[in-house]
Amino acid sequence: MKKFLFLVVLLLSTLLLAKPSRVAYVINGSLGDQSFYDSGYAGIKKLEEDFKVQTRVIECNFDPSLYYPSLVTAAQWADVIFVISYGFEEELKQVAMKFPNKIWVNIDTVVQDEKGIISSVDYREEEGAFLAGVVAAMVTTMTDLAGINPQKIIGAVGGDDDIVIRSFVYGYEQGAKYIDPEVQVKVIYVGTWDDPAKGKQAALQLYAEGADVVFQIAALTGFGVLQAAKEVGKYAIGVDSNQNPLVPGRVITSDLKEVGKSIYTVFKMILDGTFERGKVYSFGVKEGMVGLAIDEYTRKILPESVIEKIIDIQNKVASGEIKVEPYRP
Amino acid sequence: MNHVRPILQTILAIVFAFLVAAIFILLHRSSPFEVYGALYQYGLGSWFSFSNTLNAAFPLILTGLSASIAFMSGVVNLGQHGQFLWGALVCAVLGVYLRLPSWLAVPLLAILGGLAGAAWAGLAAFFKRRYRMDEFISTLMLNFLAEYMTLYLATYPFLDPKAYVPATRLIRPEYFMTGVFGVNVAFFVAFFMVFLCWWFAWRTWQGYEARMMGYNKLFATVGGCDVESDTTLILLFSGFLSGLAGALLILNGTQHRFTKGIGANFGWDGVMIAIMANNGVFQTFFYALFMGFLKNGAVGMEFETSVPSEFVMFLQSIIVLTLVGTRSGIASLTDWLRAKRELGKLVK
Repeated sequence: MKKFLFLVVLLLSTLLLAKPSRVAYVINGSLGDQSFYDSGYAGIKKLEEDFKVQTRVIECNFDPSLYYPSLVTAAQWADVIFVISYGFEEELKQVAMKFPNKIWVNIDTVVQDEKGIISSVDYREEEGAFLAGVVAAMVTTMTDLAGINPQKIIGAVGGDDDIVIRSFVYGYEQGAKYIDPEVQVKVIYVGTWDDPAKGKQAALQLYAEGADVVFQIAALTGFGVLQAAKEVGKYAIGVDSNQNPLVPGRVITSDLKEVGKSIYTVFKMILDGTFERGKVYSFGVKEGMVGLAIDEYTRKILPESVIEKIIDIQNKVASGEIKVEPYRP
Repeated sequence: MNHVRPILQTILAIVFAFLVAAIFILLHRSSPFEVYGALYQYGLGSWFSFSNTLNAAFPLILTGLSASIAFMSGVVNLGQHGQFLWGALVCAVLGVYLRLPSWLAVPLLAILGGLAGAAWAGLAAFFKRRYRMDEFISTLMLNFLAEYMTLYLATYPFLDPKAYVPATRLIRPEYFMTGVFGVNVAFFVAFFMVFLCWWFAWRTWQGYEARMMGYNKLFATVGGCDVESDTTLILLFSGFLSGLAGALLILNGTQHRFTKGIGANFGWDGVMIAIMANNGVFQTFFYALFMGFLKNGAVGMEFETSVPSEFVMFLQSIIVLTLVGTRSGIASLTDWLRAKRELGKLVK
């Protein structure tokens, strides 16, 4: 009897101990971009509320000398570490090797180590960008809308000239061509992720070259794009978080990348045991992790018939009826 | 006695700086004990933390030395950032394509990186000699050129197409420098350079001339120093030190490739360290370690106490500012007190 009780206690305690209680969120940039990093932070906050876990955030502020100590610090404390590892994939592999018992989830890029410790959440961002391209091309051809010129030009402002942003642009171009093959896409890569002034300058240049809609793909830098749209009376498309309310009437829609929602989903999988180490989770429109934010701000700009058409195309992308080509470097 | 006083002053200043920062921590409604506890634990607390602090300090030691050697000779080289970047880029690119046995390649890459930094500083030296252009402005402006030129090279010609940020390919794995009990070999190289710099400044002819130039350039000229050659030499040497820092960061850092923003703030931290250290060689070493400790521990501070990273940077600045202010304050106060005492003896 005693032995049995002991076993029960042991079993219960291991079950309780196995439940991860400390979650860290390590990012290469900084919070407050109202877009990419903040979306993940919202997910982390939700974990705190719903699962009563302790959470911590480390912001590296794009300072490469902080990447390694940040990961080491997080690994010493947390059970589960969510990482946005742009630029420190190597460090992530090294540190994960030193702390192989922790759960490592890398977000938005694919990092694979030989031992299969790190899991990745990879978004099919080209699908969301395709839809953004659809909206942009539709709007630039609707010459009856205020502020739209007859030229069929749309623009995009990217942070860095890197793989993820290029796949955004690739999807955006496909979406535009799907609506009207004559639409021309102009892209400016700014080279920073945290400088709204430069984003604004780039957007103003695109508007001056005849673009009616500019898609921002640049985290905090892109906030300047939204401001530029307000200044010249043209339109913009937000990214990652729902940015429609930031500049009402000028941001048509936002290409969502639900970092927070996927953190929440992955954490739930860890809790119920369906999570797999070393796996690459691919999230797209079908999983509801990528898509357009269509709300009352969109309805103020676009007529209902156009919105219906957009939603119809989104459903077709989700069902696989429309195939969006992924970008191959 | 002459050596004890500055050390005591420094200790007092550090204590005072932490006290002042504690007030701000209280204003932020956090506990200073918790925050400093985390700083200690993550910066010095275990061998693991301590070795990470040493590893964080090695580029700072070298860029700090680079600034100290220049400033002590009255040569205002503010181009550490650019020289660092060129050292890192040359080392990273050659590390991909060079095929040599690693015992030969690693020192060669480090030296070539240093020479790249020296060459970049040499541009400023050339302008100085040929066109009498003040190195203050030329080294400063060359930083911007270096920043964008290296970024261009890493984004287009030498881009690793599989990287998620603008970055060159990984250098060959056999060129990775190792560590001893977790302390990077690069730290020992930096340590050796401290002695080399001391030897240069205090035991060589050129070092003597350079120091005289720092005290008073005109007097040095009248005294027979070849000021022009000395300035060139100092610029090249301090450029070499910065370039070496960049190359070692590639060989023995954590990235092993040139990525966008790899220069971080090493160059400017070096300038700050030199100023904190009054351009002394051993003082530079000490303050570089101190900055490494703050940098490494700051992550822990941010983490354990959930203060935002901006507040941590603010605290770092408060500590540095108070430290420098207090130290010179104490120095002038003790000088004044001593003068008064001597005067009292005389007047009686």
